Amino acid sequence: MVSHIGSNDPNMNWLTTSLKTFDERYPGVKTEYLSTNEYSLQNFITILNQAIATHPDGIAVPILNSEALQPILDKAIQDGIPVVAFNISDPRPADQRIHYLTYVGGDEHLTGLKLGEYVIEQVNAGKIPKPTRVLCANHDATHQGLKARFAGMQEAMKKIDVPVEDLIIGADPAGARSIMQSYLSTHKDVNYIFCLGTLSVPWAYSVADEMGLHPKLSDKGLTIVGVDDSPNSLEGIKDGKVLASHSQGFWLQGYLPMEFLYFYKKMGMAPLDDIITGPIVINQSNIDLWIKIVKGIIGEEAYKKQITW
Amino acid sequence: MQIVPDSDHVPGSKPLISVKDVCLSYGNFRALTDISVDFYAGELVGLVGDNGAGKTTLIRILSGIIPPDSGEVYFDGRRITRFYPKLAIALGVESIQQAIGLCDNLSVARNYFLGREPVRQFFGIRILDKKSMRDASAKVIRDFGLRDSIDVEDDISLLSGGEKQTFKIARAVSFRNRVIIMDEPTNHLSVRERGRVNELAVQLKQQGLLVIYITHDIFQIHRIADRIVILENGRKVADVSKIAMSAEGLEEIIRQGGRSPTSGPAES
Amino acid sequence: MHRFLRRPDVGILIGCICIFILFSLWNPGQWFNWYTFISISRYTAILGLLAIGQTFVILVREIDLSVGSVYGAVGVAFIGLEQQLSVPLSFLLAMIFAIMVGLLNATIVIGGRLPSMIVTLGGLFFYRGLIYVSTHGAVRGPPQAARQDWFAQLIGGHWFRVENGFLWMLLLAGICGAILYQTPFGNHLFASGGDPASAESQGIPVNRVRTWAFILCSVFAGLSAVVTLTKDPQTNVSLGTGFELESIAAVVIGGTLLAGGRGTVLGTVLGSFFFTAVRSEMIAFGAPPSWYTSFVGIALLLVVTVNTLLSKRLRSN
Repeated sequence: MVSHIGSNDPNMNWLTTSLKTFDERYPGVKTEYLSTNEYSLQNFITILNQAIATHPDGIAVPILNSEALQPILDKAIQDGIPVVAFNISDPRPADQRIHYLTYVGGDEHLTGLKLGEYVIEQVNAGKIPKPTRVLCANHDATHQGLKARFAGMQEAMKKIDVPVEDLIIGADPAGARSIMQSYLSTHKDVNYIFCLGTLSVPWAYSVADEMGLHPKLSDKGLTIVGVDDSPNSLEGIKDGKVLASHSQGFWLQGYLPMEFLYFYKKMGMAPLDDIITGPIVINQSNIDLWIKIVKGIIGEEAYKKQITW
Repeated sequence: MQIVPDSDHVPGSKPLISVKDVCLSYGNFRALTDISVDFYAGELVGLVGDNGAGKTTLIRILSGIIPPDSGEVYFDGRRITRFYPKLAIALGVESIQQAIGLCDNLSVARNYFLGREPVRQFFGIRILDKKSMRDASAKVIRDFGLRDSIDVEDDISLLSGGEKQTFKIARAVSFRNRVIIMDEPTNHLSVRERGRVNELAVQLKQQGLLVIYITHDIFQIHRIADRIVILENGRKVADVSKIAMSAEGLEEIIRQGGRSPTSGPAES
Repeated sequence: MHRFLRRPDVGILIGCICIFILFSLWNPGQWFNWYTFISISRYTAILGLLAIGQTFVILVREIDLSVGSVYGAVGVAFIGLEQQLSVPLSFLLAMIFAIMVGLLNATIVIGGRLPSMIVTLGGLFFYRGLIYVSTHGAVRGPPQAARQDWFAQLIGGHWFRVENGFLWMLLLAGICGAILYQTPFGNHLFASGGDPASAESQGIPVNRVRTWAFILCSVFAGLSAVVTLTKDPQTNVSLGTGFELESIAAVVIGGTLLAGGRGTVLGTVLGSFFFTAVRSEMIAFGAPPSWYTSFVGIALLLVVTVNTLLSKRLRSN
């Protein structure tokens, strides 16, 4: 598995844990996890080429950039190395896209859309204020997945005629807070912040809190929507600070590609269509269940370690 | 190349600075080879030689700027094992170097006291005594005749080349201790100013200091020096007292080295 | 008067007055707002502390590209230590770590005779990697007790609604300005940056001065991180990404020459304010973030040009 999710991203634990489970269940097969530490296409291509050079029985890879990876992966497939895409797919139609066996992962556009739809559903139930303007806090301007989430949210909000805006806040907490504060000071009609990454959820909350915008969940004030089934987002929901988050089934994204590659190698069979593992909306109603699931997979200690609130 | 016998000194007096078999190379280039010279207090020694002879290199060693690769240097009979400028200054060596010595980004006053800033106590903390810096440096530059429009708080970059040179000399002289080394001190100076510098050098010697004077001008140095040391290609080729040889004779020695002496300022 | 105009920070002083007037006229409601002041002063403090440290290094003709990662590493260390130890002790140990980093930078640059740009660039990657590896990608928030602790409040709390971090930055800026302009060490530092050979010849221990500059730089990076985290403890492994360039921009906009030997701490503080205020207002008025980035580049060029022209004109007088 060659991935862009490295030791800088707690989501890596999902993938490495699931690979380990696969190793235990399939003792004859060895899995290896290679990753970069940042969204650097160059570095990613370098380690991908290194991985292909070792001629493995199969490769699982996120399609960070379809054009750049196409020549590399199609050649590997021609040389007899089957490829399964995970986490990020090739968005082009089947005849143009990279000839991977299948894609296992979430759909980022759906993520934004489903979360937006959940907001509307709750608004109609009178639980939360009606959105007047939604701010999408984007911590990485180059990440295609985040852009897709933003587009999904935009599509959902269009149904109730609410404008959605994208703001690049950057990855540093102090800079992100400063930028959000500046933005909120003049865009007073923003009452929803959709954090495109889980890391910015506590930052958005504390900025809104400090400015007196009442981000705690209620039927007035500002509302925060997060992403990912990380302990950070989950605890935010539990504490009534975050409306909802989602799970993209990360564990499945590590485990299933390995299984599909194994089955293909052994029996020549592979799924016909993509396997969409998410989004599943996490909210007040299923939060306890999700906390239990996540703690069950990564353990209580690791769970606590990821809470920055 | 003629080797001329060492000059004779007052027997019994010990050299202030003694250099024995000193060698130094810059990479592959041998700058100094087996240099042995003695310098005594109360004399004015001229250090001459053509470009690249090693004069500046030798005084850099004596000023503590670079250490020799091999050989020994003694100051007041004590062997010097570590070479750094602060030690040389502490031992009483003041120098006027070519090209270095003043920082263009600092004021006249700060340059004057560079490395030995006067301090006063401010609630237990040692801070610059700016008043005494101003007063002392202002007095000195007036004494040395630098133009009135210069204020000691001005950047030293406002001074002309000649004024900077005069300033360097003023600084070395006013902090004088036991040795004054001058590397081409008359650079950038007018004829009258040159005359004054030479008078000054003689006065300092008469006050009991050792004055080491590097120059290209044989005739000038022959007039004021007690002794002349000639370096050629990193070696000492002559060490004579002024009476023992005429200026023409010295010039001849240098010329016989295969190159004719040039006049005017240049790197050694 | 002439000497005042020759100050390296005259350019940024004019620049700051201009933008202050500009923003006051453009939208006084938003500009003269307490939250705006808090937000700008907070970030100015964080960037300012980082940039003050960088000023020392740039004054001696070196550069420190690792400050962003050191800021992050010390910050993460501070929070990590707070899980087990008292806040003052965590702070002390975190600062010792910062000192060690500065010392290491200096040793490699001076001992190895290597360009500081390369060495500290290595540091940038090394310390960022150290953060990732030691935290496995997740930074735990400090315990509630640590956040309420008197020491944490001393650094991260407020004093009559003004944030302590901002006040600390102003205090330290004043002290550093005094160190630079009123002490022998300051004179040595300027000499070491302006003309190291001449400084050396006058007995100044140039390498020791450079070492102190690197140490001060890392320590200030660490201080900035502690100020940030005592106020806002929710952080991430990305803490400090990109800060190295921001700190250099603030220093250079503030009038300090990259060639060394000239600069003021006031200029650096004003440069940090300029950077922060311009970004803040550009975003408030809806400019796309890319505009702001380009604007900083233009501002950098403008201020440097103004500074150079001013000093050239005054020199020829």
